[in-house]
Amino acid sequence: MTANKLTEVGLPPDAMTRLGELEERQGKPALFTSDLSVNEFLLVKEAGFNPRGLVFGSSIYHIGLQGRNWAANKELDGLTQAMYTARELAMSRMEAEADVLGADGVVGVRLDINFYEWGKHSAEFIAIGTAVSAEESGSWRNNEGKPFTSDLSGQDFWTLVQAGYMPLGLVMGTCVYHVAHRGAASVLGQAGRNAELPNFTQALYEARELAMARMQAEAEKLQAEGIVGVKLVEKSHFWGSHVIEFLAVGTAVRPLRADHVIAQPQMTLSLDS
Amino acid sequence: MSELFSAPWTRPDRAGEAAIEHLRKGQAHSPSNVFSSDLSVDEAILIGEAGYEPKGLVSGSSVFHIGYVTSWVGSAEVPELSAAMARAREIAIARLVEDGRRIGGNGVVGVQLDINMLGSHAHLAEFIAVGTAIAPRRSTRATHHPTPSFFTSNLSGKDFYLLSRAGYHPLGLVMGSCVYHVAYQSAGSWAKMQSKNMELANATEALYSARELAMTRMQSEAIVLGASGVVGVTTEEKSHVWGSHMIEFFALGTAIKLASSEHKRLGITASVPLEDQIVATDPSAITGRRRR
Amino acid sequence: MAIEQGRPWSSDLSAAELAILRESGFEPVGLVMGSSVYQLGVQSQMGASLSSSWRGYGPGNSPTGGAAYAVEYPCPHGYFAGGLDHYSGFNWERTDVEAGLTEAYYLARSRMEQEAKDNAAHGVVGVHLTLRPVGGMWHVLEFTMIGTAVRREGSAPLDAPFSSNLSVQDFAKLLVTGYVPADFVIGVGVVQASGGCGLEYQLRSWNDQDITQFSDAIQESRRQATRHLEHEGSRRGEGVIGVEMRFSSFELGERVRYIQTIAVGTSVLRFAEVPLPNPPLILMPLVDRDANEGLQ
Repeated sequence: MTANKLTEVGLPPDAMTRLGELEERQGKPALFTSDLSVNEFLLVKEAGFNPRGLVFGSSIYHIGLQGRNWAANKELDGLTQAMYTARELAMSRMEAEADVLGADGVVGVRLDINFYEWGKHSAEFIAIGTAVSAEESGSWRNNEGKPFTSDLSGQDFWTLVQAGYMPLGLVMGTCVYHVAHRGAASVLGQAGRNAELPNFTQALYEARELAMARMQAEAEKLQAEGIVGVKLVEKSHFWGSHVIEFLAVGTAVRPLRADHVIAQPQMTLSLDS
Repeated sequence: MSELFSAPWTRPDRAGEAAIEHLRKGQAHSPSNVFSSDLSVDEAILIGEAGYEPKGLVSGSSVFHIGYVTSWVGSAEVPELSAAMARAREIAIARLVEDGRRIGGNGVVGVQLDINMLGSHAHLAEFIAVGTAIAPRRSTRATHHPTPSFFTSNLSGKDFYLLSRAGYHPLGLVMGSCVYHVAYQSAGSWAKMQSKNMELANATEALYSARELAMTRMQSEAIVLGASGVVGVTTEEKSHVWGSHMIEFFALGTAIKLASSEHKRLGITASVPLEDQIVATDPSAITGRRRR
Repeated sequence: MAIEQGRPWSSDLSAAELAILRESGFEPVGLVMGSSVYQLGVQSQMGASLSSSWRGYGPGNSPTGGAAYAVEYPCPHGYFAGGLDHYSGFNWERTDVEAGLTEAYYLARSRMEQEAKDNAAHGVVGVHLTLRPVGGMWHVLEFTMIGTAVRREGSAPLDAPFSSNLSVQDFAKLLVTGYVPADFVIGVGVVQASGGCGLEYQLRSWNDQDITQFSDAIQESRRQATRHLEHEGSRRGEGVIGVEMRFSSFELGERVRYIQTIAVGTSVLRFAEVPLPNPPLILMPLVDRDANEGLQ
């Protein structure tokens, strides 16, 4: 086992070394790394930002099973809390890495979960993105003094800035929900009939609403004008089919200027396959 | 397209006749002057636009014997394996470069790196690098930046063109590898608190550090090359043939350098493609998808 | 199959491809095909006799004969290091297999071209090659090519029609930049590697190291495939583009490997020096992608 300990800002010493090497020192110009494609790199530059470095955060979290009532529709708040905290930890470490670089924000954030064979009931949550700094000085950070984060691609980032908006932060909400098993009586009672299953409808409805409401609350905290690119994902991970995680992720944005007019786009028709 | 097709001397229907007449003459060339390349037509055109021409398809391989790994007790990097993986890739790329120089190239684009396990030898792995060698065209019209030395890059022809138009030049592939062993004992102790949801700090730190090490090694290569930056970084984790307790973290990217005095803006036109957007519904949303 | 004049043609072109083909002054004639099932006459040599009987060959009586590529890997230990037998390893090019695979390919291609000529076509575009072993025997192979024959109204027929695995779009792009596809060509490189005692020592070692003899064999198989491809392309072209490489390697016996690379591509010929009128316009398409892509 390594003798290293996470540093005060919560990053391993190896990260501090790596990020330190990116900086400009006498005789050596600054170096940037990024997982942006060439197209994205050029579009981010075109939007007036310089990539600074690949930033990364990770958290391995033990997700213990939670006792559940077989016949009840219910949020499993322990699991919700675990799934949220683990992602939040990974995200905040990524933000801390961007902070070390003195970056204004992080674009192209990807959230990932790895399950390893050796880690029973545990999972590695990863956040990875490219830290960027604006060419023009200004207040690019969000109202919490943190670098902005966004899961938008370089293409979307360029388009957003063209239209006079800036990302504020990646916002998310999650809800792990247990969907009740149906009792034998109700299965028999409805056999052969077409009928809505109000319990199920209600359960899935409520879980999604909870996840989205939590995401919206995060955006409100950032004083965002709105959220773009919301993705709603449902997964059971390793819990079996009756326990489902509903995850809502999007990018909260704020306006840069009053009008949002972009140059007239060109209509094109491609005959390429 | 209309722009290309409307110029009188490029009207393809007239070009067709000239093309067929040329084929009829059936002129043979000296095989030594003939190039081969895995570039697509688009890539070949754009490489030409950047002032370069393909010289030939080149490859480098290293069949590497990766020694036996004895049972490791701790959770730590296995430096021998990290070094072996790095060394094997290095040899494959060195051979690719040698092949490229031999045919008069001054760089290789579109390098693909692969690992194949060779048959029944669990410890024999082939590391391959394949790409197309290019060199500046002799009578070059477009403005290109002279290459300081032989470069390798996993960029496509399109990427190469766009970078060159923005004033950059690739310097070389950069990579970093860290092979990490996760011990059974520590994995067990990591997850001991069965009923509680909590972060496993030791595990987090171990894998976090392994990734950072791979990225640091990639970065160091870029610093040695004197790069302004690294684009298109991919991070990969694989257990190869070692079983799930041994993981290689591998970071790969292309180091680039600003060759002109400053970054040149491309002047991008927003476009609305008139494509079939009628199919607004994902088919699986209708047929249903099994929730896992 | 002869296609009657005035009969509707069949093709696997899309509407866009048809429009581009017409714009380029060509018209589709119909689908054409060529096929050949071929047996490589090498089975007896490839089997057991090779794996064991190369022992004892020295530099004087190398089995490699007149092959284009042949290298001996002599015993690195000297004959006094007791214990093991000492014998050389050899890498050599299987020109017989290369010739067989190449011949089979051209049999299929010439049949496809004949169909095109019978229908007064000038060439074949979008050729799709299928290469597969027949009946589970690796040395019996089927080569099949299918493509769309095209014709240019008003031009006299060609003795040898052009053929290409490029799409209609690529065909049109080549024409406007002053190139025409010439031939769909193949290059084959087959190398057999028979390890000596040096290789045996390396494989038993605990050290991480490059197995030079195998690396050389693979490198040479690719190099020969490329060289042959360029040679085939030179018949009426000045370069080969869109090359696809297929690589296979298997064990013939202990320490004996068979390494094969097949490369196919389209040779191109320049008929005019045509610079692009303007630098390409860079577009940023405002389209949506799958919202749930890439998120777990």
